[in-house]
Amino acid sequence: MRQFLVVGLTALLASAAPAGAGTEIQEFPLPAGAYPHDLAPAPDGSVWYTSQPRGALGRLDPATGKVEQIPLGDGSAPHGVIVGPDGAPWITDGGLNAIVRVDPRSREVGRFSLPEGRGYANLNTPTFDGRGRLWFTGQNGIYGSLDPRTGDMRVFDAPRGRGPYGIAATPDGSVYFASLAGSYIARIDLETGRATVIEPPTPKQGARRVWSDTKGQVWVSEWNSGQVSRYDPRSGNWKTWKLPGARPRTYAVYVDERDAVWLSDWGANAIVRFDPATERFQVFPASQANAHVRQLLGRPGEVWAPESGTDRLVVYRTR
Amino acid sequence: MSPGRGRHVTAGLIGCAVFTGIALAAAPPDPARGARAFAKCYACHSLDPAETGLPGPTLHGLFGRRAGSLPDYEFSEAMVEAGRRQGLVWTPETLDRFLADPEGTLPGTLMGFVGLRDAAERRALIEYLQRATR
Repeated sequence: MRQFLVVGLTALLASAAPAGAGTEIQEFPLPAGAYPHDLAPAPDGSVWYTSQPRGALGRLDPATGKVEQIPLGDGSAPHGVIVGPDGAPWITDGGLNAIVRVDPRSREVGRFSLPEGRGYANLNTPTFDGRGRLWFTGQNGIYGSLDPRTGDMRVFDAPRGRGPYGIAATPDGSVYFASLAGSYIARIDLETGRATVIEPPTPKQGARRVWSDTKGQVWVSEWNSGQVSRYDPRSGNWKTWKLPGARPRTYAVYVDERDAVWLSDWGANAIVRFDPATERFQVFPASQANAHVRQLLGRPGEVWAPESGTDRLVVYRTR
Repeated sequence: MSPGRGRHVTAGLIGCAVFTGIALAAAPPDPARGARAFAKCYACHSLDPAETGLPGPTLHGLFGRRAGSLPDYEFSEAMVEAGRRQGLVWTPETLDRFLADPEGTLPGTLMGFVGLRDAAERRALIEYLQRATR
């Protein structure tokens, strides 16, 4: 632990650098092989991340650079993580085929397994609706919900089978997910659980992740097409933009508190900021090759990126 | 060149070396385990040659195929290079090395899968694929 602390402090001193337009980038090294897939900033200022190969939930304290990794159990391979209304990290664990909760104080690990008959779901990403229920996706063709108060779990077959990937809630608590293999987004009826497919304008675009802006418009990162698109639930209208570069591959999307749209582009090995007002992109190239940022999430003034390919968490400070 | 970039290049060279001439350790086949392991691939890969538009290429006819050579799928540059310039052809041995650490053995691959660290699980999967991809 002491070693991580020293390394972290070194990073704090060495890696903070201005990046133009008021954005400062800071890189935090993680233990070798951490391979952070997804992350979630926590209310206490720390950042949780999933370590798939280690079967662990990691926690970075950005103030000190200190890192700890909490084992989630034999066979664990966590993918997504989100902080719930209870302040705890909730994890979609593909290896365990279960939703996992870690108590942020005691570090106790709780597990909500998928029903036996459902088979291997390849669990992907969680989100919370406006009623305190967790919704999740499974890439092998399911989505579902978990009520943390009762433990009641419902699992549904996804339209067109395999593909459900990113999932997110809008400010009014509505839940949307993206299907990577199905090339659509869907809105979930929170009462019946029924998913209504909403087709993006580009065929076979590879909708990978979704996020909402403050107005409830749904932003979509399109892996196959290298585009970002926006769906307005009130009008039903779409608008689409191609990322810059020769062959963009849009993996992750996150919209910050000022409605700036943040994307990860594997084609350019970069984080890309999109301003919907000016329709201009700003590119932040990664400082190492093959950073492979698979998800983005933030809190006011900060956008966090897990670099699975470099074993680092990187923060883009915007104020 | 940054330390990180150097590490990736080194890993790539090692990858080229280990892609050739290494036999899989002998172990009895486990069809059920192979099918279960394929469930981790299923979200992106089909065994049906007619099923296109998935995130990954069809695995039909995989063994004996040059890496990155399917005409109706857009591979990463790294995969195309591995096939065209380095002569990577998919065999049980090369697939075993790739699946053990995809990004380490082929830096720049767009396959977003962490890999299978368990050698017995990889063997079961490859046995399964040898039958299912014909």
